[in-house]
Formats: sequence, structure tokens, C-alpha cells
Amino acid sequence: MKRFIALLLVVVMLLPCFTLFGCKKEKNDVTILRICNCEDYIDEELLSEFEEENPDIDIVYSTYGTNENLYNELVINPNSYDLVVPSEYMIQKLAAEGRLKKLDLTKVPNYTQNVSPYVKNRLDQIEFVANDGEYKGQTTVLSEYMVGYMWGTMGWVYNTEYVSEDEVSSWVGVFDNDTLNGKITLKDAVRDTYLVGLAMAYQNELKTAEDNKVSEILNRTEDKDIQNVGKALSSVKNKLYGFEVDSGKNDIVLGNIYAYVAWSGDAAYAIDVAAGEVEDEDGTTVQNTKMLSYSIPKEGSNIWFDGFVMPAASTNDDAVYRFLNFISDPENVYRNMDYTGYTSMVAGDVIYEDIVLDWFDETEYYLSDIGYDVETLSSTEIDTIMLGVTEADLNDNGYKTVDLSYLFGGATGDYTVIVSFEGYGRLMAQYPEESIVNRCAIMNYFDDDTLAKINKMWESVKSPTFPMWVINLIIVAVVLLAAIVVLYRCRDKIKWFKLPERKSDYAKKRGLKLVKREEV
Amino acid sequence: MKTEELKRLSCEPVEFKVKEKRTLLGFSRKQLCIPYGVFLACFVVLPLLLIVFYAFTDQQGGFTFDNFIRFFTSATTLTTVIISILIALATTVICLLIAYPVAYILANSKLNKGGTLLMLFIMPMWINFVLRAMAMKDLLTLIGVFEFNNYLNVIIGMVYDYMPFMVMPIYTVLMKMDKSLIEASKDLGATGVQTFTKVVFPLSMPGIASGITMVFMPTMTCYVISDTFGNGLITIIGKLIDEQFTTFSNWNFGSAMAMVLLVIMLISMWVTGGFKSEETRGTNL
Repeated sequence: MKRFIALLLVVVMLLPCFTLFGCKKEKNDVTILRICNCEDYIDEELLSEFEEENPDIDIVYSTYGTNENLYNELVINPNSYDLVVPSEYMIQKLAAEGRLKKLDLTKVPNYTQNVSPYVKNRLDQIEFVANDGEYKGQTTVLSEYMVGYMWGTMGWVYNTEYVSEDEVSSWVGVFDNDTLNGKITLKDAVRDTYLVGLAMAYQNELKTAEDNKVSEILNRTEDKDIQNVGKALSSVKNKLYGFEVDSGKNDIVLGNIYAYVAWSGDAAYAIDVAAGEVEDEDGTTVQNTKMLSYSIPKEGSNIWFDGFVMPAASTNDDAVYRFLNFISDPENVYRNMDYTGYTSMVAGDVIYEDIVLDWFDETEYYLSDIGYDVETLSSTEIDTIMLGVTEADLNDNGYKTVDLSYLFGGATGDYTVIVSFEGYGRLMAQYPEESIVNRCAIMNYFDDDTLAKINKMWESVKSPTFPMWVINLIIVAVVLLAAIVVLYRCRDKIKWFKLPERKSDYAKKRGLKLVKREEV
Repeated sequence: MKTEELKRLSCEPVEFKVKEKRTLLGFSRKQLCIPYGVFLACFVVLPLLLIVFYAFTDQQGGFTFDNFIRFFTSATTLTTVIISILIALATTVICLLIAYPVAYILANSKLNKGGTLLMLFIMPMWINFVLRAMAMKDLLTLIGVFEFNNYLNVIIGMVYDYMPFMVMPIYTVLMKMDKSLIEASKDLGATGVQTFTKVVFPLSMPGIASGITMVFMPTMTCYVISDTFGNGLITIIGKLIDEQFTTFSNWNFGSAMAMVLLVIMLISMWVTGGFKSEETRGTNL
């Protein structure tokens, strides 16, 4: 009987294996699309909707922790995914090593028609020579390999109650204010903090540098540059609350810290969470929008792009293109942006109207501030009134116009949004102004040698270093201690080693015979 | 065991042999070991060999000692090792000081019938420890302890997290201890203190030793705690190894560090192993 049960159990346990194999054999009309994305970086309902629309495609969705982890996975098993979403520097590294396929963007019309021309242009400028693979020796452009997903910047998220706008307009400003001691965090990610270190070390040079020079300065990796970064970071280390990767947004909302280096999407998230409803003096609940804001320092910062790329070993081209087209559909882009808080590379009129105007535009607040009854006005009436409003009028009332035409591909003034001074930071987290973005540099990937040097610098910044003689002293002490322990434990086996007489010796000397207890 | 039952188990229809080699469901002991043997080979021995391979090669795959040279000549890495050991030592000592009385009380308390009180100590372990660490951090911030010193925070976090690993083995040893020995020592005129120092404490040494090994070694590498409680300002050796794999893509140096750590652990095991005996088998969690 038991044997039978055991057999039954074995069969039950093996069943999933059979069905797994069975699936592949029976439904060979179903393509499996393996996607690997960053954690919490997509509205997962979209995935099941895609599967409903395309019954012949099954998505296997997984996530990765860091770009480097993803890289390791692709190196160990090149055919582990059909689509992955690394950052631009990792795409460059993967492509240069011949691990990626070029994409046929004509098959992704939703993307090519709607992609922001500015972003596309930035990606087109990243040229490199492939060292290996199908395109070996050719000069290729990053945008040939990827369908852009999200992009963003890096800057300070700060508590407007304690930190002034002036202090966060540079990377060093917050460290000059003593009241912020122990209230600031930097990223526990070497690439990001390295850039902050560069911006600190070369702040004077950056202040006078033209826009097109910024990128060169923020990509310096010579020995002396690494040293300077190390010095700059060490000098501010004792003014930090700490290094973090994802606890910062909680800490700033809770008020443990007043400023932290954030990626733009996290910034948007933190600002929104902090802007919860509060009770004002009269006891009515109002929207608190003034607590946190976002600022990209004027010296220059980092701009990053994440995109869908296809590993060279993948053969599911058709499914891949259908998915890419689906995910680049402005309606779906809207949902993804709503879910993640990051900014899509897909722009277009739908995004402008549904996101930029709907989320950020404060024309109606302005109008009610200057005495109009907005409820009674039609949209054409509002347009006519706004035509007569000058920028100076807006500024007098605490509002300003931000021109986003560069992103949406129109002439100057085509795509504008009116925001209050308080709402400006929140808009910058998702749609920064051209003058700011032009000073944001794309960071190239570090080669192995550079990485090793930066690694050493990073270690010495993060952990204290005792002088070598102290370490030697400690090692000698430990070795001595270990030797004593060893000698003590082996005292029976070493003849010349004389410890206090043992029982056997005592007995021998006195001519006694030691007997075992049982014999007695 | 009754013969009928054995018959039924062994599935031998007629005769029952006394020297029955087949034990469970008709498999012999050796056969039953095979799955574990395979598991051991795949997931313990093979990875270890890989670590050794990576530790002695460079990124191009050639044989080299550079990784070890880099480890032992870098003041920063060595400092990190020393700090890790100090944190681990402090954690172990504090754990022991707190856990011993607790285990002693639990083992002798009438309240603890059926291990209810013990359960209260073990129960936190059922909750994800990252979650626990974050909650503890918030709690410390709330009562204002968190601001003093990052090292103190890390040690508090480690002690909090590894306490059950110290309580459990000591408790088990004390529970199993023959209570008549204590009576005997009292009969022979020993005072309460003497009974404890001469009888109870020496007999609980195996539990203490296994508690120490179970606390000391993980605390050297548990960087989730040091990151959460130290705000990323305290680096322990585990964090260094992790960074080599996740950030700097240098598996070779990472493996070399892991190997050094392994040696340190073996040494510390050997040092504490002297007190161990058969009694501690199976008392670990």
C-alpha cells in the first residue's frame, strides 16, 4: 500500500514536468516571449492584455536587480530572453560585444511615429564600433539596437521647508549649509555617485563650460580624475545621513532626511507621496503640494535611457515586434507612465494632452487666482484670455510658462505648459526644460581597468581605512593568539612543550599505575 | 517493532528476515542517500570548486595569484575584514549574554510547558528578515536611539536578528541536561553559584559553542542588516563580495574574497569545535 502511495506521489510530483514538455509539443502554434525588465517598471496588466489580444503569444515575464546582473545572465546563457530592458550604457556594452541584434524599427510604427525627436537625436549621437558578433568592425549607433522605453535625469529631491532652491541648484550647495548635516543621502550606486563626485570636483570648470563640453567633463576617468572624485566624496561623507538605493524616498517622506540624490521617476514618486492631503488651520483637507521638490543642478547632471533590446540568440522576431508595437502605443504608454512615474521616450500629441496638460497644467488655477470663475468658462474662452496674458503677468502671480516643444517635436511655443513655481519641480521630474537637459550628459560604460580603479576609490570612500601598521599589528596579534590556541590544543602531541604536569606524567614519576575507571 | 508491522513495511509476503537491509519503501540506506549525494555534489561541491577556480584566475581565464595579492595588500579591504570580525564578535558576545539567561529561564520555567514561551522567541523568525530589519530601523528612529552611532545600530540589528540562533541550541542543551546532576551537586553541598559554574555551565558548553558558530559566521556577511541599519555607511566583508559580482563584474576578486572568508570561518569553527560533542548534533535550528 505504502509503495503504491509513494509511486502515486512521485507521479504527481513529476506531472508538472510532463505538462511542461507537453505544452511545447502540443501547442507549437504558441510562441513563448521571454521578457526581462527592471523590477516594478511596467504595468503588469498590460502584459495580460497583450496575451488576450495575441492568443498565439505567451509572455514569460521576469525581472532583474541591476544592469550588471542582467549582463551576467546574458553572458552565461545568451538565449535566456527574447527582450530585455537595460540602461543605455549597458546596451552599448552588450552591443559592442556583439550580444544584441539590430532591430527593424519599421516594424514598430507606433514607436517611430511618436518617439520624441530630441531623445532620438541624443541616442543617435552614441556611436561605437562593435568588437564582436554579427556587426564586427562596423560603426553602429545605439538607436539601431533599441526601442526606447523610459528616460530620465538625476537630481536632488529636497524638502522645501529646510532647503532653499539656491542650495540645490548645484551639487555642492547643500553641503555648505551646516543645518543639513546628516540630513543628506547619496546613491549607493557607483556610477551615479561617481558622476556627482565629478561634478563636485570640477564644479568651477563646469560652471563656465559650454553645453557641449559638459559631457566630456562628466565622462572623465583618468587616474587623477578618479583621485579627485575620491577626495570630493570623502570630504562630504561625514555630512551624509548615508548611502542608499531605495530607502531614500521613504526617508525623505518621513522627514529623516531633507535632500537626497534621486532618479527622476523616484523623485516624482516621492513628491506625489509627500503631497498627500493635510488639514489646514480651518480644519478642511487641502492638497499639500509644497513639501518636496526636484531640482537638476545647473552644472550638469546625468541623463539616462532604458530601452528594449533583443539578445542576438533570440529568434522570436515576430512576437518581439508585435510586443514592441503594443507597448509603444500611446494609450499603453500613458498607463505605464501612470503606473511607474517615469517618463516614456514616446511623446506625441496624446501624451502631451493626456499627461502633460492633464497632470501639470495650472492655467485654471492661474485664472481663478486673478479673479475669473473658471467653471463658467469654455475652453475657447480660456484660450482667448490666455492669448492676452504675458509671461510677466504670469510671473507676478507665481506662475510661469515651460516650453516643451523640443521634446514633442514642434516649433517653439507649440507645446507649452503653465505651472506654478511650486509645481515646477514636479514637472521637471518628468519633463525637464531644454536648457537643463542639454547640460545632462550620457555616461559611457567603464572598461574593466577603469572599473577596477573606480572600485578601489569607491571602497576607500565608503569604508574607513586603518593605517597599514595598525592592520599589521592586528594581524600579528591574531596570529599569535591563534598560535597559542593551536599549541594549547595540541599540547599532548608536542613533546618539548611543557605545560603543568598532566596526570599521566605525575603517575609515572611516582611509579604509580594509572588504571581506567572501569577496572577499579 | 512488531513483526506484523515490519512485514507490512518491508512488503515481504511470507518470511521475515531479522537482518533486513531494506529500510524504507524497499530502498536500502545507501540508495536513500543518493538524492542527497547528488544534491550535495551539484549545489555544494561544484559551486565551491567554481569559487576556487575563479579565485585563482584573472578575467581572461589565466592562472594568477593577483586576486589574493590585491586582497592582502589593500588596507581598505583588510580594514573591512577587521571591522566585520569586530562587529561579529560584539554581536556574538551580546547575544550570548542575553541568550544564556533567557535559555536558562525557559528551560527551567513551568510557564514554558510545551515550549510556548520558546515559541514566542522563535516566532519572529517566521517573518521575512528584511521586513523585520526595516521595521526595527523605524522603531529605533521613533524612540530616538538610531541617531547615536551607525556601528551601534548595526550591532543592535544583528543581535536582534540572530538572537534565536543563540537561544535555541543553549535551550536544547539545558533541556536535555540530566536534572539529577544538579540535585546531586546540591546534595554534596554545593551552593547555587557553585552548581551553576561547576555543573550547569560546563555541561551547556556544546550548546554555547554551536550558538557561537551560528551567530558569528553569518554576522560577518549579513550585509542586508549592515546596509539597513548603517545607512550604507558601514561596509562589511559580505557587502564587498556582493559589489564585486553585482556592480564591478569582477567575479575573480569576489571569489578570492569569498575563499578568504571561508578560511576564516573554518578557523573559527575549528577553534570553537573543540567544545563540541555528540550532544549538539541536531540541536541547531
